[in-house]
Amino acid sequence: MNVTTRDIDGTMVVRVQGRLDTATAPSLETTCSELIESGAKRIVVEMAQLEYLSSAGIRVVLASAKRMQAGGGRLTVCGAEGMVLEALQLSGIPEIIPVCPTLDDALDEA
Amino acid sequence: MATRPAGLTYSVDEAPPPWISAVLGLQHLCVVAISFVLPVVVIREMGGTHEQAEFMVNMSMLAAGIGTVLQALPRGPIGSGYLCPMVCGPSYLTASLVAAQAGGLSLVCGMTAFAALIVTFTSRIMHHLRVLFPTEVVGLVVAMVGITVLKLAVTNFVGLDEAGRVSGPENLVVGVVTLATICILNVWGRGFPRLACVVIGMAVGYALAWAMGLLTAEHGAEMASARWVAFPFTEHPGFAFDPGLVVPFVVAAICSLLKNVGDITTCQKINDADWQRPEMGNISKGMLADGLGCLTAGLVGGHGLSGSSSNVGLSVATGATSRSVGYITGGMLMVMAFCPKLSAVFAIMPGAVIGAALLFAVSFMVIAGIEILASRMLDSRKTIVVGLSLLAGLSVDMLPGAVEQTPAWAHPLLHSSLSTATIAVVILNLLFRIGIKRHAEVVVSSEEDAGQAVFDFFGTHGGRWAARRDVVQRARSAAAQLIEAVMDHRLSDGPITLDVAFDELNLSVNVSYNGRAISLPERAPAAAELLERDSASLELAGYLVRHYADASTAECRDGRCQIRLDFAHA
Repeated sequence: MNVTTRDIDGTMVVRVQGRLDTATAPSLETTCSELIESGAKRIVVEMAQLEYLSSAGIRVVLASAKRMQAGGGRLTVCGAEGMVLEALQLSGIPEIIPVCPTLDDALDEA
Repeated sequence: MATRPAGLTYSVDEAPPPWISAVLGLQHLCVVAISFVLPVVVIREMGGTHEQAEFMVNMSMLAAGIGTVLQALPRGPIGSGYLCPMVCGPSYLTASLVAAQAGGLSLVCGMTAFAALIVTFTSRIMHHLRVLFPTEVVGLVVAMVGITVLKLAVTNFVGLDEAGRVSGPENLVVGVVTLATICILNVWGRGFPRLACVVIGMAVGYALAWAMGLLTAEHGAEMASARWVAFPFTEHPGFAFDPGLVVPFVVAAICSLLKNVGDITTCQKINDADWQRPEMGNISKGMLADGLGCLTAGLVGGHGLSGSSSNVGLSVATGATSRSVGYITGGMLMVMAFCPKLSAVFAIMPGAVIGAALLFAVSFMVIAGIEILASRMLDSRKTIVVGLSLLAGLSVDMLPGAVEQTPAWAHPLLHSSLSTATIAVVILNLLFRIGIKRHAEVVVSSEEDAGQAVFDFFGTHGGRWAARRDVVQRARSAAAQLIEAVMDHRLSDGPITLDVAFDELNLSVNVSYNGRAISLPERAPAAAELLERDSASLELAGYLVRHYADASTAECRDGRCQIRLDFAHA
């Protein structure tokens, strides 16, 4: 999995590509932890190029969102399609974390 | 859940305003009416009377009306919920002609009811017959339905007489003007003119035919003399059964059945922008409506019925697939069955107008069949099955002399390009399924990246087997999630074996290991619980696996656990 980070008007956009599962989730967890520790208040996890999302990946996204909330910040997910979006919906994530169709929607939301 | 195609003006669930629905219903009625020439042909060939012809036409209308309404029902066990009017089926014509000559109208009624019972019974076991009609078989049948009607359409369009000579330039002029009007309104028209292009074009055709002398005062007198109301039930000829006619009527039922599968598949496709494969539960209900409509025809004294491919083509062309139009068309047919004066308007329809309307509708049907065919990757096996069957069907129309020289028992099988192609594609499809099953296996150990191993495995074999991309992705996600969960939660005592089998209709994933069982729950844990208890993550994994698969089983015996996941690949 490839994880890249960029700053768009104060919102940290974390783009994940490939698979987000047991083997790769620690990479996303580390990135989000570093951003939270550096004081980021708005994080968008962009999943447009994510091929596969497992229960382990969902757990890491949820844990990062909880840490953000605890610090007064907000984590948003965007761009998920096909089976990745299906996994998010089946796990009930949209009830806890905002899930937006596009990055622009997520930036507005954040 | 179907996704509404952007190109439709009125989708299946949308009801147009009443007056537009009425015009659309009339338009479908015009196309349905063309098929009522078939009972007239049956009565004429057996040397029957005008009254018998009127009776059979009216009873065919009544049954077609009932069948059309049943087909449009969106809920309950009967009906696909689509606009797919019923018409006198060409696949029943040859068998009905033989029955009419052998035993009169009573034998036609009895044998038609028998064939309808076959269709009705078959609709109940459609799931078990999926092997008979994979998508490429359905696509070919849909295309052949259009091609079969071509001869009737062109004969009427150019005005060929029995000797094969063009009867005069007037016929061709009326046909070309009618077809041109329909096409111009359909392509460049907007709103109502586009929706009603066929009925407007046919009205222009009637007027031009009157001006050019193809419709005469005699036709007007025929209409004027027809009764406003008639209840012809007392004229029913009764029922008869002849075991010698079982084969031709079974063949007719099979052709009608596959044609209906094609029609309903087309309806599903044109009403869902994200259509992937035929939905068998819906087809089964549609088949039941078709069978009951045809059974009604047999019981009341009509011609054998089946879904109208031309009308499905018409709904594609006009962008109006609303089921409420189906109710109106069905209602109009039932009213016309008791009103000979209204049905007389259609009885005098000029051949050129019939030909133009048919050519327009059939062109959409043929392309719909080709699109269904093109939606599947055709390897050499499928190419042989479809290609040879297509050529076998076309050769019947191109070389009619060769068919005439075949033994008499083969005539019911070869009487049309549709029946020949249908029988050929079913037999060849079954034959070439021999040795089709392929499988591959990989062993995943806890030391390696399980997700990567599963992705590499499916990447290699999915492409090699020409399996559908969406099915492979689903199976891949399920297998990766399953193996990951087993490893993460230390359920296995050693390596995990992944065995995948593929036979064109089904992709099955078998995961086995020594250790403890994994459950595949029907409900997901609450998302908030995922961080509170470790077992919630395992439950979510099991739930996702179960949801991704079309069917799943999990069992452990003597410490050996096996999970089987099936993915439909029609």
